[in-house]
Amino acid sequence: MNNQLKALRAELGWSQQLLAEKLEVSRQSVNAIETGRYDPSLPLAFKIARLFGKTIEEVFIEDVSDGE
Amino acid sequence: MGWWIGCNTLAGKRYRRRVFTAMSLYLVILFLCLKLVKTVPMHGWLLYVVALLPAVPVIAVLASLGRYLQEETDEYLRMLATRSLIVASGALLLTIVVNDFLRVIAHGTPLSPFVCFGVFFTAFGIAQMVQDVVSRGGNDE
Repeated sequence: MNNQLKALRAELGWSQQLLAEKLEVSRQSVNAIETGRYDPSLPLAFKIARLFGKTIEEVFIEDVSDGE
Repeated sequence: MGWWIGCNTLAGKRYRRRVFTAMSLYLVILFLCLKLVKTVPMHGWLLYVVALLPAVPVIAVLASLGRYLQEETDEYLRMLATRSLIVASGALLLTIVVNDFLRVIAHGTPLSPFVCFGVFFTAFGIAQMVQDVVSRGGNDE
């Protein structure tokens, strides 16, 4: 799954550490989500979307090549 | 190496504190039990109790792992620890199965005492360290 996390974070000038603190997760978690190594759970995805004032679909984009 | 959970979350800190306490107790209990067996002649159920005493802190270490997984609120770190446990369990099973085949077919010798424990926690520690290094990488632009 692709996501806009890095771009959204850059728009606000936030560091990974600051975003991690706002989400109450580790910086490793933010890094793993940004780089696509980890897809967050639905509650965390909602939390991320809410923090940026977006919908989940605006932050996370389904990669159609992932298959069904 | 099994104490390695590199995260600085509250759950990670609690885990390391519990494991440090349990391993310190383990060393003290092991030393006292070995000394006791050498100095006081023992047999029967008392010898069994003394022999099993050092296992108590080891059980506490395993319980700490379980508690860490329950207490860790960071789902990504929880996944990393779970993955490390799977790697450690795989390494342990592989060691046992390989030794079993060597014993049954090639009349090999059984594993030395405590090898399984060492294999499990070494594999767990290596898996945690590798994942920790990988997950700490990446640019913060």
